[in-house]
Amino acid sequence: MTVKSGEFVAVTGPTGTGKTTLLNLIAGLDFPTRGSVEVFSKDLSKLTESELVSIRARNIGIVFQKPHLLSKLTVIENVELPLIFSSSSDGDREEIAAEMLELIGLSKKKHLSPSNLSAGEIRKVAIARALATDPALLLLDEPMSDLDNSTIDILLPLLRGYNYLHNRTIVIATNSLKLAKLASREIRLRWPELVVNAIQD
Amino acid sequence: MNTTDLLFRYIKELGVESSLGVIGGAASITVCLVAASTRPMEGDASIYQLAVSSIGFLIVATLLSLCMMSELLLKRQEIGILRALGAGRRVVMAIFLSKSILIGTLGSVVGIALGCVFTVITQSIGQPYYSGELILRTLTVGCAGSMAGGLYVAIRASRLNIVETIRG
Repeated sequence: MTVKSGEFVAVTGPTGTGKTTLLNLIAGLDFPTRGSVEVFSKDLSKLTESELVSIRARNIGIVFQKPHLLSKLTVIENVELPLIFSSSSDGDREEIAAEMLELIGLSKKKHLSPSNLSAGEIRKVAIARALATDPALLLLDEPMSDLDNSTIDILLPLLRGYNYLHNRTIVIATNSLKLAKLASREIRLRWPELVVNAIQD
Repeated sequence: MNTTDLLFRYIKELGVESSLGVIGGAASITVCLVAASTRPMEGDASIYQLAVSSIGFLIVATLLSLCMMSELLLKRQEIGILRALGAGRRVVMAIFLSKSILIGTLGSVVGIALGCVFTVITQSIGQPYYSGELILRTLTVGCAGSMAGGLYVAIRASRLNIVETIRG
């Protein structure tokens, strides 16, 4: 399967068909037992560890199935994390993280611990964290699972705008029809069959 | 926040494992100093000192690696998240290595203080003597042992499978 630069692709399929594994492979967190994965025209299995780290830090944003915020850090520090690893300057980091929190409507809670946030807010912070480095490739694994409809209505245009206005590639693993419809292309995984591509209108 | 701040957050978290590491390290260094400060009645004193230092080093290294290994088990998922967000292996190694050196140094300083007090109080253990060199050597044994124990765990931590650790 191929995902073109600037595409918004939804990976759908029942639980256990490998949606998360596919995202992990694209992020270079896991490696295939057969075949190869090329991201930004580079075969990930042939990259050195430092090249992989650099790609993850600068070019890929990830939202995990569970938000996985670090409880020892405040909300804004969690958003700053990927910026540290992408070597942004100190001033930029704070400014960008604050902007991201403003964007998702959590700027008033930036100095709180994640334990003081609701499940939906935690999910929003995880999305802000993934967007902080302005990655060329954004990978989201069931990003709306803990969110209420009003929050989803805020985040969907945000993702669509990120893809459309900034020409960023988004691959989203989801079982949500609403989210899948937002994508320009749907890839259905149906075990044990191979990938089925479905082009949407 | 920068990388140093992040390291500091991890280092300053002194939980039960870290406290046990400090206590264990202190006890080992106390015994090491007491043994080293006691002149052997017969034989070459320098060989005796070397043997005591080597045993002290091994005990501290083993203790610290056990202590940091339990720390690693608790922090596995966080390490996986940091790695997935772009942290390199060096960042992970720095977290574990700096923490083990801190624990080892704390344990060594406490151990040396206790060893001095203990040997002065119990004059029955041979004729104790202290010199700056002996204290410095004991401190070096503690720090080097903690570094060796920490290095082993730091390397293991930096090589964890990211997907498995995130899954928890």
